[in-house]
Amino acid sequence: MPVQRPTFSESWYRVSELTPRLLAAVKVYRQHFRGRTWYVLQDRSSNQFFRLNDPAYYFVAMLDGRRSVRQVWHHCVERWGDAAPTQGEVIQLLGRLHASNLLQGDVAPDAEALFKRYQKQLWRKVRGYLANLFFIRVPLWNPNRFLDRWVGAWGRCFTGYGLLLWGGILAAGLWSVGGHSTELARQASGVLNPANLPLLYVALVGVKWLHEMGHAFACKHFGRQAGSGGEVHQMGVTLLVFTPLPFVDTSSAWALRSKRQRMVVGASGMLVELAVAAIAAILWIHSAEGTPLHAIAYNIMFIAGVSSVVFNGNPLLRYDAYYILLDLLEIPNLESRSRLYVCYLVKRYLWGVRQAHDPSHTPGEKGWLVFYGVASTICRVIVFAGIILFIAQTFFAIGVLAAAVLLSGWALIPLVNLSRYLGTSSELDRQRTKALLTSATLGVALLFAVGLVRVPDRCRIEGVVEPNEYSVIHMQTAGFVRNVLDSGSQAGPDGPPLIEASSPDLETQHARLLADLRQLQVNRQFAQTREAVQVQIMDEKMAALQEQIERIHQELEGLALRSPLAGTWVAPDIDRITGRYLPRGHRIGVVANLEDLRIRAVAGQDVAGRLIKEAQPLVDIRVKGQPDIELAGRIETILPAGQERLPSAALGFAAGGSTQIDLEDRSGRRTAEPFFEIRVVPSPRETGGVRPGQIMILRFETSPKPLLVQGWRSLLQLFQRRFQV
Amino acid sequence: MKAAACAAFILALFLTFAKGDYRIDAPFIFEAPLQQAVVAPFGTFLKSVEVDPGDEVEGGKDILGLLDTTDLRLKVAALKAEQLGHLKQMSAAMRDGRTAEAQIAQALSEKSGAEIRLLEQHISQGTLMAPITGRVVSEDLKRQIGAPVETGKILFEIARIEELRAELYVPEESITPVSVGQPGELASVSHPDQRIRFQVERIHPIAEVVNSQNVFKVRARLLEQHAWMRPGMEGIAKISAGKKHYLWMAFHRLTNWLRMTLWL
Repeated sequence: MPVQRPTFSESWYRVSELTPRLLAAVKVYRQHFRGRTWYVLQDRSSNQFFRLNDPAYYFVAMLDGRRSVRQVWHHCVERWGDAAPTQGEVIQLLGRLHASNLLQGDVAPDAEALFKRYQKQLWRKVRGYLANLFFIRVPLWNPNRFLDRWVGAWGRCFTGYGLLLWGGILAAGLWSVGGHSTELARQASGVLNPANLPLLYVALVGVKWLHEMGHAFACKHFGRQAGSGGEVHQMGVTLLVFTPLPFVDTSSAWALRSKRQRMVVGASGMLVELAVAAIAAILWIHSAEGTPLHAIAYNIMFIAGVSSVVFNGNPLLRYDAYYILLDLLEIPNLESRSRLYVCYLVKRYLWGVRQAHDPSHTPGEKGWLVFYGVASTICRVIVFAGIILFIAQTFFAIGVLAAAVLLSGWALIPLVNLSRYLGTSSELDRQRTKALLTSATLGVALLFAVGLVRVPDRCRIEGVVEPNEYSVIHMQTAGFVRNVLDSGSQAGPDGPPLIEASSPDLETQHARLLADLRQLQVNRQFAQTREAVQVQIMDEKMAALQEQIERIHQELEGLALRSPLAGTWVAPDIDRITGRYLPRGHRIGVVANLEDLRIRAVAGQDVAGRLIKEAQPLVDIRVKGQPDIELAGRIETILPAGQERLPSAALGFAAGGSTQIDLEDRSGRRTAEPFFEIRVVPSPRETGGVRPGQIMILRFETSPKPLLVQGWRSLLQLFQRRFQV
Repeated sequence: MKAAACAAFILALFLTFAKGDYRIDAPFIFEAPLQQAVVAPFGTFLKSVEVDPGDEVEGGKDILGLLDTTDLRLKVAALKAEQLGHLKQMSAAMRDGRTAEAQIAQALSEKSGAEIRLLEQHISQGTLMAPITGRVVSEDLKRQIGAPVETGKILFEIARIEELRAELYVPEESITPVSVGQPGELASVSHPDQRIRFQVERIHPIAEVVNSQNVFKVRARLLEQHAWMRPGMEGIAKISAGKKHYLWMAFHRLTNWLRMTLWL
């Protein structure tokens, strides 16, 4: 232990004779976290907060302006032994208190130093603004008096009866929405309609204002109950992704002693939002579609639902749920400390820095710190990437700027800091060579792995199973259906007819033409004896007539349809068409050989070029949604020209497929842009679980490339597709 | 604490090793197995309608409606007169020994005869009879009396609604475990509390897109029939597809999704 926390510090002489004391305005609250006692210091004039552990608080509390720092420290060491703050820690603590303007004393109110301090703070604030370009706050109003006046009435919401009422409202809302889910989903597509955007924004501001009021009243209510804190002095406008929204500063809730109360304050915004959503749901159900009330209610419901599920309900982002999680886990400053802890792990175990400071307080925290550090980083990257892509679609320049700012903030600056730390930090004095070597090795290994090692380059596309041989059966002659062959039976050229129909008109015509022929024959016999010229004319007439009779005969034969190939007769609704009159060309069903299958895969523009050029002939295939059924296949042909009509509507967006379709087309089979069809023969032994019409996922393999090349290609394609760059 | 741990352990064991009924959900619609259409056998006008939607009719006995056959009858009368003329001509020619003329007259009379047969058949078809015993399930035609109808227009549909069957739309990703003969239960939207048992009768071999979902049509035979059941009613059917571990049932969708997503 003494190695990790050296008791003495070489800078001790600078502070040992100072006699500072806490500002009179500082209020102190006691809290319990994970079995440890903490003290929260609050400066009421600037609303700054500061958390101290037991020995540190003991030290600070002993500073009364008369005792010197040295005296107090000796006292502490006697009282706490090893747990007492070390000289280094004392200097750090005093520095932090000083920076937070919580100390008062004979630090020689030197104007220049004060100015420097102020400047430093100002600079820090400006830097904070720059780093949080997305989250600028502009305080506008002090709502404290307003809250004091109304807390008596509204604070009752945060009692048991309030909870009961809240549950009732929520139940009523769910009850009225129940069964209207399709309608809900249908209207959701219109929310981002430009005509709806102003309404959406108004609803957003309204809902967020109520949300903030929920926080404010909860804070005030519990502050009053506990007799401490509950001051709410800042309300204003914050810029969230360039959208002005209301905010309220309820950081005084930290001073609440009860963990449960702090959690309720954190959750109160969401509780209010959900209640508002429930009321909006009731209004939405009971108002007619097309009325303004209906539209506003829907927007409110949408916003309250989405924001409380995605943002405020997500503890991995620094919104409401994060602060609730802090209280629940009893780990203060989870986010910053999780990052520090990850850094500590690297320092301690990768670089072997023995005296690295472990920021975890209890062993139980460690797992949480590591988990949160990793999970929140991933979540933040995903959310911000999504936001930037969303902005860049409309405002390309702003999107690129935001991406540059974020990239420099999250990648460039940490890299610079890292190299500066590696080069100059005194912490590394003994291990500098080791640290440099391990970091360099890791960096080179990473670059090598990403930029040079060739990994398989694959792409997955969707395809549909189809029988290789099949024939669509249409009515050849219009007629009344008399008899049909059951769907699913085996059919063939020699088998029973698929459908038998009758056509009285045609039969009559047949009889009439036969009679005409007979008449002509008699006439010809009669004429033969007298006029040779007439005979020739009659012969021609008879030939024409016979041709006509032959044609009608064929048409009559066509009333009994036979299959042109051997296979299964597939016509699901065939037993319901008996008695109907079907026109010529009416589609009845399909005869298909279900043993010999092909897969028609649809390659979009982004992968087609690569596949045509260098796809390997062997393909891995899985049934969509059923990874258990795996088979192999071989590319048969790649159709050379682009097409626009999908082999099955199930491949299109509308039916859950991955190909974008033309929204105007009702059949759902016209694609938004041409695609290239690849025909694949599945290996015949394994087609057991595969049925025609099923969607398959095909994995094609092209020549291996380094990850960096593959990633760059996807990025370029994304840019080209979304921003036409 | 110990008791809770034991309970959790036993629960985990139960979920891992105990098996339950694996049920596949699919929307369904009731259908009449026997449904026959009565169509206009020739182009004419609708003269009268004798039945209302929902009426019970007996096959080959009850009249559904009448088509206008006045024109046809006039034509038949004219053709008959013509045929009589041909026949007279024929017998006169025969008597005088003019064989050829007699043969021509005979052919002409046969031609008229064929036409008369067709028209008479049409006239008899002008009385629309119920083809099967069942109920009228098509819409009311009373308002269209006097309107022209063309050949092949569906005028009435008769269905036997006492013995319905169900057509299940099983999503493509759940079709693999389904096989003919499996039992199941279904509940319609109108009577969600009444469970009706069924048995899978036939699986349509080719998938189709129905309501923007790629599905296999599966026909089920209902093991019980109720008076309130009508063709066109919809609901949810659950096919019992064998015994599976509870743990598998709870997570197979998630693991399938993960396995598909991570199959890079």
